[in-house]
Amino acid sequence: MPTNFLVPPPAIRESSGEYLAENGISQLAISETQKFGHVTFFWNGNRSGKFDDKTETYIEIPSDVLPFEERPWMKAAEITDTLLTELKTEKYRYARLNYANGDMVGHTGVRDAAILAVECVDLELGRLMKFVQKAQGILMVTADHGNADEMYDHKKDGSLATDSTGKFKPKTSHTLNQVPFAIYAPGVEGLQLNPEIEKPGLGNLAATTFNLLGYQAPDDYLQSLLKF
Amino acid sequence: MTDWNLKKLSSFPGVKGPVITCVMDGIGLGKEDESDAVFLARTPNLDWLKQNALYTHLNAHGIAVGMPSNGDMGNSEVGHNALGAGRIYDQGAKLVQNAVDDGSLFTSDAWKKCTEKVRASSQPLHFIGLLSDGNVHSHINHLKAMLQKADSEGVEKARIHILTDGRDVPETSALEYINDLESLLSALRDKGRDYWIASGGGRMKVTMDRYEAEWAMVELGWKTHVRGEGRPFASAKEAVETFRAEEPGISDQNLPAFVIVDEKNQPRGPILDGAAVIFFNFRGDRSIEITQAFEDEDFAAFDRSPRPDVLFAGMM
Repeated sequence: MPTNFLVPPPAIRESSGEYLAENGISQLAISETQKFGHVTFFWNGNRSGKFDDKTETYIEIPSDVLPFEERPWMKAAEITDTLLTELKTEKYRYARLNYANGDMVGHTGVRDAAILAVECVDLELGRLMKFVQKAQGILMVTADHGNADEMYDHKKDGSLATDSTGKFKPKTSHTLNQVPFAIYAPGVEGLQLNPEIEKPGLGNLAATTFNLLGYQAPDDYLQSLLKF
Repeated sequence: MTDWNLKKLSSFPGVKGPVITCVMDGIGLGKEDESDAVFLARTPNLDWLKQNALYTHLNAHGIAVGMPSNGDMGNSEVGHNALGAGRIYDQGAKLVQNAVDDGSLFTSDAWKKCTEKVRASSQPLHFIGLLSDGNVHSHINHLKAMLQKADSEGVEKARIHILTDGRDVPETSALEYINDLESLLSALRDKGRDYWIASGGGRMKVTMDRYEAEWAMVELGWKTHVRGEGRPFASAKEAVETFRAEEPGISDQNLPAFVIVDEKNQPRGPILDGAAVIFFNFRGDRSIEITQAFEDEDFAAFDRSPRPDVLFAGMM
């Protein structure tokens, strides 16, 4: 934060991480350098540091410093390696991680590298699913926004735009698209999505997390995606 | 007082193993066409989850994450804010627009201190930031509003150090924004003001590093904006056109650093003692390092000397 600022930032209070810390529910946050701040600082409501050193662990895997279209796998495998090593200690009730590939490679505008980036993430999802099945845990999978889902510019009618030579025009920005959300809970019976939520969004994930941990969400949180 | 005590759910006790949230950054649901790398990728695990797990789609842009409108893309910062907070807060883009609209930006202590400082020192009011309407890190309209207000408050000199975007907006759109800014500066100069673009470069090359991934970008920014050292051009337009001719297809985000010089070939806007500097990006991650370079007394990332004695303010 700059010492002097023209506009005060949003005052985000009582984030899910703080609730977990206050209730002694152990947490792990992990990503590579490019997204480490997102699973810690931004996740915690633009707040630096931990709420509780005793129950929280934050791990940063150093990112490569090079054009990511040359290494679309980035550090996804290393993130999974470290995450699984930590989770096998059975120290943690909750873990959050971020695979940066779809976004960082998406920003390069190189479609074929982005395809590989997405495939790398999927490969890691498989490892997480295998672990969760064995550990009798639950895995939620989602995304923070779109990017790799549109690697070329579209025209207003939805068709692809081309340059003067007839080539598709690379698109490097984020998108306005929805993101997937899945709950993988092997062996758990009776979980169901709440069909009454009309426009589910990212803000509904935290309440869902509390539910999956066996708790009610705080009253002022957006609704859980699950119905109980 | 916050009641921190979480109550147990009566109908679900939780599971033996851990609960894990996996964020697949930037992996959305596209049009399933030739541009859709998520669709084109071979993803047996995600495909399995779609078929067999509890599965739905989530909104991750616009109002659903606290942006001003549903025409605004989401980004990783507001997305992770929403994921972690479980509620939606108005985000930077919206808060800054509100503060411009209701004038509270211009009654802030930081704005008053900056304008008072340069009126007293006769040094320029410098602006550094991303020049586009992407509304992810910044918006050109905020810059234009500040320049107009500076003029109306009697600030004689202003210098703008522009970072070209090509990432939150189309890849080669920089000249649209440069032309837009130049026409305002030209109008203000016609009124007798001394307002110029002074330096710049692509956002992935100059100044906007984050998470200490590449401090050399910030060092280059310091050299370019503060010292006025770098490849000279008569205008930002000339710089962009020259770089594009030299490397056809270069994206705005990767344009090299450039310095604008006057008729005598002197840099238009080195940042000197007595100046005030406003970094007008509202998003935090890529603002932190340049802020440290201006503000921190103990600073080891690169040699800043001679470090000018300036008043620095961030947008947020």
